[in-house]
Amino acid sequence: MGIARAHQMSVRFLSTTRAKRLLFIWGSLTPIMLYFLIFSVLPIFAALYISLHKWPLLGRAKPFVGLDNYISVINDPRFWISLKNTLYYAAAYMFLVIILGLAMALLVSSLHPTARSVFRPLFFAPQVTSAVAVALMFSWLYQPQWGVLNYLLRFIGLGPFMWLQSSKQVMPAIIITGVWEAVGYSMVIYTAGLTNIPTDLKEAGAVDGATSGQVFWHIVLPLLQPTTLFMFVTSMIGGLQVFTEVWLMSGGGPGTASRVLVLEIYDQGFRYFEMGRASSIAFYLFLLIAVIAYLQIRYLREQFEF
Amino acid sequence: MVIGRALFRVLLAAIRYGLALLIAFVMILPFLWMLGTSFKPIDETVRFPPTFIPEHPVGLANYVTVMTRVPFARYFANSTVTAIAVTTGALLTSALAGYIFAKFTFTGRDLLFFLIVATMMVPFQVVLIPIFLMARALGLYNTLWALIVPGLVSAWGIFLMRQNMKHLPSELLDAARIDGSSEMGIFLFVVLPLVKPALAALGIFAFMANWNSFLWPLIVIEDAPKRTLPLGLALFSSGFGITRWNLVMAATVLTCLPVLVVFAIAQRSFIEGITLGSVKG
Repeated sequence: MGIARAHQMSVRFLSTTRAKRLLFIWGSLTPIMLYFLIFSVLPIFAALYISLHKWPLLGRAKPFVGLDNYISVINDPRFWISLKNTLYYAAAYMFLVIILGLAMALLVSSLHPTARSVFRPLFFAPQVTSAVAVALMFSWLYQPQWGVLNYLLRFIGLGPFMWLQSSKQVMPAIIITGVWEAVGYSMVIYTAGLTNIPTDLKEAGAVDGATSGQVFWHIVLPLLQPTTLFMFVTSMIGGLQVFTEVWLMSGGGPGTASRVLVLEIYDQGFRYFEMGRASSIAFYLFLLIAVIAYLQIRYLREQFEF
Repeated sequence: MVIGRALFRVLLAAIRYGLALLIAFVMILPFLWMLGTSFKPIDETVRFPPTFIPEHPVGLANYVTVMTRVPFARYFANSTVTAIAVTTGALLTSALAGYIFAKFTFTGRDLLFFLIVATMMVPFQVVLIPIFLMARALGLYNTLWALIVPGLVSAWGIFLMRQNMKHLPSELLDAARIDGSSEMGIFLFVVLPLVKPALAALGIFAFMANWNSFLWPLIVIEDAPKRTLPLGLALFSSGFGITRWNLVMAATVLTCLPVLVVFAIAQRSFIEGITLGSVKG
């Protein structure tokens, strides 16, 4: 009798905590997920819908045009120029950010701790500076007649360069700006990767008679692979979305020499108000990023097994 | 032999420090050039060879001109208000949803979480136009609300918090339950204090991303008094800046100084936060 009663009570207790728990779960999650659906999921499908229509911002008629936007974008030589420049930027940016970030991480960790605590924040400072400010600083730095960069390069026998005003140099100039901004971040990520490598592994290599170069190539670098994959993915995705620097420093010029995909989206959408066309370009960009993101998902699955 | 080795070591150290100083010079040059120019009279900016330290400094005259022509204090306030609002909102929703995804089992959990991870892969440029149209339809266009509302729930934030809460000991939460704490109480007073580093990381990340964002404010803000700092700076410079670099650089100093000062004071937590935010995310 007593046992049955106790059992009954504990069932009731369990079911009320269970109800409370469910109330907590859905009471909290429902508004958040609704918000998420409205501002993150719905817009993706809306973008797809818009891209299948001729959708002038101010026009009343928004007829369905099927894949017309996608096709006419492909037939536009400006799209291919933007695509080429975007890939050029992303690849160079990714490569330099990774190589220089790793080199700087190795260099800084080999310094005396006091020097380390001076150099590391210094190298990281551009990362906390807004891209607009960086773009303006570099525009002035690159100024062909009065800018300090041409003046300094003269001492080592280089230049003068036209930088942003030359269709050959404008992309490298913008890439340098982007790398300058992001390399401190890469350094910090690699530093974290380096500190995660157990020292006894390196010591074991040294004891076995490996030179420090061999230890680096055969022990350190393979162990940094997750870090490198992370940097590859984030810097590629970031590079493919370059906009602020281009908009401010060159406006896509001279001519079309530095036009990039996001600038194309911006111009189609907010200068010519062709929302359908702009959305179709955005989906081409998405396609590019999806390839990279696929790698990222695989990486995240491996790391966090969800 | 011994002397040779010692010499080699000193030489190596010299190369390392020389290299570090060279990189430091490259990293600091644009800042110095900006700062120097902001104190120059206009005729000194168009001179060759250029000067680093102004020969005829004009004191704060350029700053005064910028401040009187452009409401920079207003831009600063707009940036601060929107960044704080978005950061607070995103922290709250990310922590709560992340906790639920990490520590509870319920029907539909994995599907919902997969949806969140999937949207993380979609670049902002894809949803830019629909969110712009939504902002217009909701009457948010050209208001600071447009900068706040779309950012209050962050897929990336939920993901980050979930990863950091997954390994919290469930026994601890059950103990609190037996002690009679409500579920909300457990979340607020047991869980949140345990994930402070992750919250700080997400907070710094979200704040910086909002403080520096450019494309979205450029599209959704029209009136000058509603501009954020980056937008205000960009439109000020593209307006008449090209010929007045001393004014543009003064405005640029005004824009990046606040964050750089905060960074100089709290650089350790900045760097730690960003490391945590990235490697775990």
